[in-house]
Amino acid sequence: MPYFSHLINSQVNDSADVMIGRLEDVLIKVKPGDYSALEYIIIKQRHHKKRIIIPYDAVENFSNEEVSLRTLFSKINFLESEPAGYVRLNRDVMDQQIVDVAGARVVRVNDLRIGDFEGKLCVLGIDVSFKGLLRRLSVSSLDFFDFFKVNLIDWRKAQPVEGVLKLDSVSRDLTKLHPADIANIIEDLSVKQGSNLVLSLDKNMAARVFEEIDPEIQKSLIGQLSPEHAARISERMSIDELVDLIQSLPEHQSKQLLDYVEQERMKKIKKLLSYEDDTAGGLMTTEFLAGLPDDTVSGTIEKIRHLSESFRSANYIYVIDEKSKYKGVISFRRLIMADGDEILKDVMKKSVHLPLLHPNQSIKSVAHLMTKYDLNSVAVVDDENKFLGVVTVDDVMRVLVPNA
Amino acid sequence: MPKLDVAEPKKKKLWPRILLILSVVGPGIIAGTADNDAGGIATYSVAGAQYGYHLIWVLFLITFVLAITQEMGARLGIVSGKGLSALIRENFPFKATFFIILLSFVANWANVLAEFAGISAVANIYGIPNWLFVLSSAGLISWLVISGNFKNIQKIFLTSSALYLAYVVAGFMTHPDWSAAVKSIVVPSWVPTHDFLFMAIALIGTTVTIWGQFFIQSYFAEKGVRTQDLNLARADVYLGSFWTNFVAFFIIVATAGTLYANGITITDAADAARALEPFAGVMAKHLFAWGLYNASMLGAGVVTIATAYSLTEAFGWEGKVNSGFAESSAFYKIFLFCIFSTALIVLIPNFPIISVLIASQALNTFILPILFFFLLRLLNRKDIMGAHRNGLALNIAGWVSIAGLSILNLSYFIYMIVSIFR
Repeated sequence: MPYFSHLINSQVNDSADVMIGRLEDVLIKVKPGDYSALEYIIIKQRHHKKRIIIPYDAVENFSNEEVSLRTLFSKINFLESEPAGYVRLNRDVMDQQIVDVAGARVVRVNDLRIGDFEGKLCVLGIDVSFKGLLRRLSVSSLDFFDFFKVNLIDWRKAQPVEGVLKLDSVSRDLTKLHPADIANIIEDLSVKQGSNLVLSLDKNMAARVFEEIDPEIQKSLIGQLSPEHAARISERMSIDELVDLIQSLPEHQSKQLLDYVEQERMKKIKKLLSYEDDTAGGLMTTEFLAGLPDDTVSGTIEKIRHLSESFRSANYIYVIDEKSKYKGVISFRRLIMADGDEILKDVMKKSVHLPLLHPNQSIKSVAHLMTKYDLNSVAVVDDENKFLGVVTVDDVMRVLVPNA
Repeated sequence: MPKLDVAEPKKKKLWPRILLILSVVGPGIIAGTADNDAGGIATYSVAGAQYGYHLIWVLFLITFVLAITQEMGARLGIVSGKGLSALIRENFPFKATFFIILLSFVANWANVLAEFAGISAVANIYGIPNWLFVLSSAGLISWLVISGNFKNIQKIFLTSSALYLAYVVAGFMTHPDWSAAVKSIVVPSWVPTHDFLFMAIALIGTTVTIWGQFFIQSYFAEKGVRTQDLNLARADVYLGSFWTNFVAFFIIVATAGTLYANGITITDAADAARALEPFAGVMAKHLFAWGLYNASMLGAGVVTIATAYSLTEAFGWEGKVNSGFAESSAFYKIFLFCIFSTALIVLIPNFPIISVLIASQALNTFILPILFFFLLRLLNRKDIMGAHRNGLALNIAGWVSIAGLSILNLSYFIYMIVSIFR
């Protein structure tokens, strides 16, 4: 089975073995989740400027040395112009960047593997290996001992970067990835391509992906996005992530971003901004689920059902009285097990029995406390036991393991 | 899937504009100052000591060439969002890409060697053991780049750029003849010798560089400057080109006013630092020595980053300055290879560093016109540049610069070959 680099520029002969020209490019159609069959070939004629485009059906044999056609040159029906909606393998795929969806990374196409699939010659795989580079330089024979191995990516699991950006919607494969994996891809891309990819995602996904991106790259991306776009993404970001972002931005950019924040959210942001970065106050989020001590279990469950998706890591209901004093906590599990008529204060674990954090506690002591008591999240209260927010284990992990 | 809507941009006010300028500033100034690296400072020092003010007008011309080529690189980076080597790979035959990237790598590597030669020279001035100073400097650069994030690296580079003021101060300390110096900027003068031409070409070669072209483009592409802010980036690049040659002017003035006036010849920047002492005082010597150290360190950092970038980009070994060691190991491997291989070679006693540097200069002259040819072709591509394609005036300026460079470089090259076989 040949590689595309072998085919390109090979001689094209008609059925009478008369040379027509050389193979310049091949047109394919990209269908998600499918190998792409070779559909048309573009031939560069000798002594002619004009290229001829003929359907692949007219090809009898396709090999390293030559491409031979079924009929005489005079009998070939060639296309008047390049058909729309096709991708050129040589121009648009070879040497370009592709997203390896399975590996969640961006790589460059060194070569393409061509082969039979269901009776048709198709693009089967993408060679991203060093061996592919050697082949392109026509020196793969130097690798006597086969020291370098070919590394192929399944064509169906790849997404051309430029293709992603030209399409209105991103391939379904890509959006099915975990936000952290999409974030990795964006980190690999150039800032411009990355910001285009962010924009092609829907708002919720864009926000979730954005949260996972390295803070330094977040900053570059914000610079690249228009203030309106940035605002749309930040609107859906969780509040503690947003505050981290705002803190890292230069003043004029953070101001621009804050201009778009609605008042209710603004209050919370201002409060969080007043805490030091590496303290419980700086780590905590102020988006949590809360109920009054006298709310019923069934009413609370109903409330959770109608909750916005932006409450992502919520697993607990915090019971807080009218004066904002922290009373206790109920896990979802416990809530579901409880009787619907019971009221929260009878079901909850009382706050006096629970480990608590104060806003100015250092991240080290936060991590220590969470590890010691095996906690996924801890409440943060002030000196008067007023409930301020929640630190979750992933907030801590992100600071301790920044490059994941 | 619903796309995010685009709203009309708001009207811009003055203060945010000023802040925006500050946020874009950086790449041009860093690239510009790093042009005055160890090799640059040696060339300027020797030029001033040997020819006084006679070469200053050449500096004036170089400023424009540098500004034009760097602006093109910055614009290409901002509009395409890609680095130069990625664009070459995507738009030219693979073998051509491989050829140009590999040769650039060799030339850049030799450039790093020059930086470490500069560091070693500073050690000699102060009598510090060579191996200790060179290796700890190599360690320091590696640590800064590997541990620091993008923002910190940029801050360090910018601070380093400001430290070049040392040369301006040193220039003043030599009490030069200012009216003659300023006049020489615009009034061309000529000494009809081989060596003078040689020196003029060396001046250009050390300022307009291969790595500088890769660096400026990648940095702007990576920084995420929006196309709307192209003019700010231009301002940065022009400022950087000016600052480079402003500093160069003072170096030439410092050695011209003292060493040239007293007929003292020197062969490198460390010589210059020592020779300045009797005329301009011990402070001038220290300023020159520490200026050289700063320049070598900045050069070593910037040139290696640009080199590692261009290689990883061209061959798809993804990596960014800010994505951490594990994520982009190829980038750091190349980076560390360049730093430590050159640092160790400098420590080999009697290694013919000068010959290697001359050979690399020849290589530089050979590659630069090819690289600019690629650059100009890309800048005229409608599908890449859109409305920001080169205009006729810029194309002419570009081709004239390339032709001028090529002719000068070629004559330098021929001169080198002739002098080797003579």
